[in-house]
Amino acid sequence: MADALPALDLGPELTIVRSAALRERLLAHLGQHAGALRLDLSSASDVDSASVQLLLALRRSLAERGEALHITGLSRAAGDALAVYGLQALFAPAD
Amino acid sequence: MPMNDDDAEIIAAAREGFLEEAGDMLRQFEQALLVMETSPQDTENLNAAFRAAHTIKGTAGLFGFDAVVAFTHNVESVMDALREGTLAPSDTLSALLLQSRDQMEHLLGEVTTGTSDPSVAADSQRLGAALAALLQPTAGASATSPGALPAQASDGQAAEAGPGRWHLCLRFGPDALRSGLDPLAFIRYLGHLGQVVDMHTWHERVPPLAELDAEGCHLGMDLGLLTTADRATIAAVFEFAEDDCDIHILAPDASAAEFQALLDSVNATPAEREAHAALLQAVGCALHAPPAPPPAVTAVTAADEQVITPLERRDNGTGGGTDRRAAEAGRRSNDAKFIRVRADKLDKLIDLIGELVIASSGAQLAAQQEGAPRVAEATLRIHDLVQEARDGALGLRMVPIGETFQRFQRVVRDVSKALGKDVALQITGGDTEMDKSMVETIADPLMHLVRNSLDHGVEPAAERLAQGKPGQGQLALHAYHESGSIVIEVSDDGRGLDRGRILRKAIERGLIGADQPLSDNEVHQLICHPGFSTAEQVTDISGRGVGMDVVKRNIEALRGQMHLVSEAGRGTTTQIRLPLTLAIIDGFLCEVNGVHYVVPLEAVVECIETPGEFHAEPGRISGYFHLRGEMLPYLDLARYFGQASGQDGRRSLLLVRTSTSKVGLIVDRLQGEHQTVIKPLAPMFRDVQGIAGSTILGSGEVALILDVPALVDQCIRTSLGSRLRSAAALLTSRD
Repeated sequence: MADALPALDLGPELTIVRSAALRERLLAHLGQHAGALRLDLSSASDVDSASVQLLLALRRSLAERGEALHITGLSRAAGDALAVYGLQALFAPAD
Repeated sequence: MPMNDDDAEIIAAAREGFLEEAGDMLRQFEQALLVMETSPQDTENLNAAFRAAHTIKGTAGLFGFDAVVAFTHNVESVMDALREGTLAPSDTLSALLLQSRDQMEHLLGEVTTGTSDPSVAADSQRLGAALAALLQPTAGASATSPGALPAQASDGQAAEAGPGRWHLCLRFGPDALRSGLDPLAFIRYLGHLGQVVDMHTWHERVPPLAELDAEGCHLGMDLGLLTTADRATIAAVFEFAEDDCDIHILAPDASAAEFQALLDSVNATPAEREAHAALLQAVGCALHAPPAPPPAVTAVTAADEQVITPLERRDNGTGGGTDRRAAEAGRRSNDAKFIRVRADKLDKLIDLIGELVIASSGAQLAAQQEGAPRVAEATLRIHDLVQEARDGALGLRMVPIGETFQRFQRVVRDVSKALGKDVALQITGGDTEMDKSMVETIADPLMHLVRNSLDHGVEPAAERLAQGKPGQGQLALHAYHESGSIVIEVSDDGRGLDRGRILRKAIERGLIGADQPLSDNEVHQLICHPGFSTAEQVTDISGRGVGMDVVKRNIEALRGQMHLVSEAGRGTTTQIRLPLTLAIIDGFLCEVNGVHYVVPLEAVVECIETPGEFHAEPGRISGYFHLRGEMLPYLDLARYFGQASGQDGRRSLLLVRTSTSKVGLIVDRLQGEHQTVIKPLAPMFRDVQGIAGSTILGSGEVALILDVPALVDQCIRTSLGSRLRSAAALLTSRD
């Protein structure tokens, strides 16, 4: 897969404290870039339910315009959180 | 989350609220335990006890009061077992639970004071172990109800029972995340209880990014939990999530009807229900049953209840309600009819209204003096309204005395058990209202009276039977309103006061002369004398001789009176008469040397002309006079307060009474009844004897409120020495 853009990195802290800001950032990103979204979660060290929910919403937004969400990297914390929810299949790293 | 000053303040306030609520809960808990002793099958009552313990534990957990949580958990488990019928109520059990209640109170007390006493911790250990031991033997016999396995089953038992698959269905509310509840944490924690299987997250309700409330919660999940833990242990994981999460816990042997009820309850749309049903089927839950019959059928109600009860789930508006839930809702809306108000705010309001009463009297007076009829009419109307407002404001402070009475259920139970007596407590007039501050102050004197009755009054059963009385003694607390006062009576059907013994003791103690003739009533009042106690055996309960005089003093401090009526062999009744409120009195206004004095109206017996004895010796402060065959002391208020009266003309005698005697007060002028708002005297005047307070008249002048009991005491003391002399003078004047 050709990397038109570097994957989006949301930083280490994916918690409710930042979830409103992250949502803005993702919305802005979706507004500027058509096509599939590549997301790098390899630096996420702190992941809570708000962020899992954010990923679900992001995935749904992309799906609504017929695009996919590709996770390029998954930190242990992020992987754990998704596994607890039984959602790892939805967000399996694609690359 | 950063903690700033505001947060700290909110938490401090919430902590206070918790402690107050916990106090209420403890009272409810105790109440329910006492009811349990008499009607052990009352499930609603057991539920109330469980709820109380559960609430204390839950909120204590929020504040991290671990000692309270750990101990209360045991109590809660036992209550749960009682509720489910796996544990049978017994005397030892209720005694243990009552002790546990006291222990919870001690632990909460430690939270309040911020101390920690190793002996309290040791008690927690001991009682906790005793409670846990109660649950152990039921493990073997729990085949009928797997939900009641002991919370801490030993390893051996766990292996024997084998883990069951519990089904948990969680629907987090929109505010869960904001409230700091992370579903992740709960599920991870469940991993400590057993193995989480078949995890399914319902994310269909998560909207696209553009519509997402990033801090809201749209998640729900269904999961299986393989564990040997019991329902209470699993439910405890979600302890603090109840408000923000719809929680359903289904036992491994849950019936099809229970699952159907679950489907009905959590799913808003048919599509959701279908998906949910498919999932349940996929994970092997038994759904093969006809659709749930209407909730009126007992089987379903019971099933539904099992889903709901353990967590006292609040109904979020989905699904059908059962009677239980309706009752719950009723209870809540009942709660909502009350608001908590700080006592000092209320006092301030009452104070203001008191000022308003005074100002309105002033306005009325001014209008009369100005001779402006229209203004006078308007002020009259205002005056009426102010009076109504005053009554209403005072009513706010009024609370029924029943709550105080109820506390004595426990006292009577404990004390009569300790004494080996069988005593029933009867409470009547519990809804009689009185001022809140007085309710609090009256509790101690009442405690003394009740203990006295139990200890000295009611005889042991054998003695009672020998006298042809029923073996069970009766103790009654009765309250009622009578002409502006509240009357509280403590009566027993015991042996009554022993006149001979009281007299012997009084003579022995030098309280009275050996051959002094005394009426029954006078003899009875002797037991209120400081240092008087006739109990031959000093017991734990009473009999230290600090009883009745303290009671009497406390009651007089409330401007009340105490009166004893007793009949040998038939019992004793102690009557306490108290004013309805401490803030306002109906007074009788009089004038001495240009100063206004108010005498509480209930103390006034009659007004008469100054007697001949007074005219015979006008220079005396006090003396004696005859009234219809009774010899009574009098006190010249003018001289008593330091200055002979300047009044040349007729003066009057105001006959006042206390609980024990009558005294005549000589005043210059009688001015009639006057409603008085009592204001305390400035600290400077605290030591002035005979003055209880002050008030402001409509004219703006200050009037002093007389402390009648103190005046009477003073009067009797100063006139005792002159009694003989006065009697002698009387005899000579007759000769």
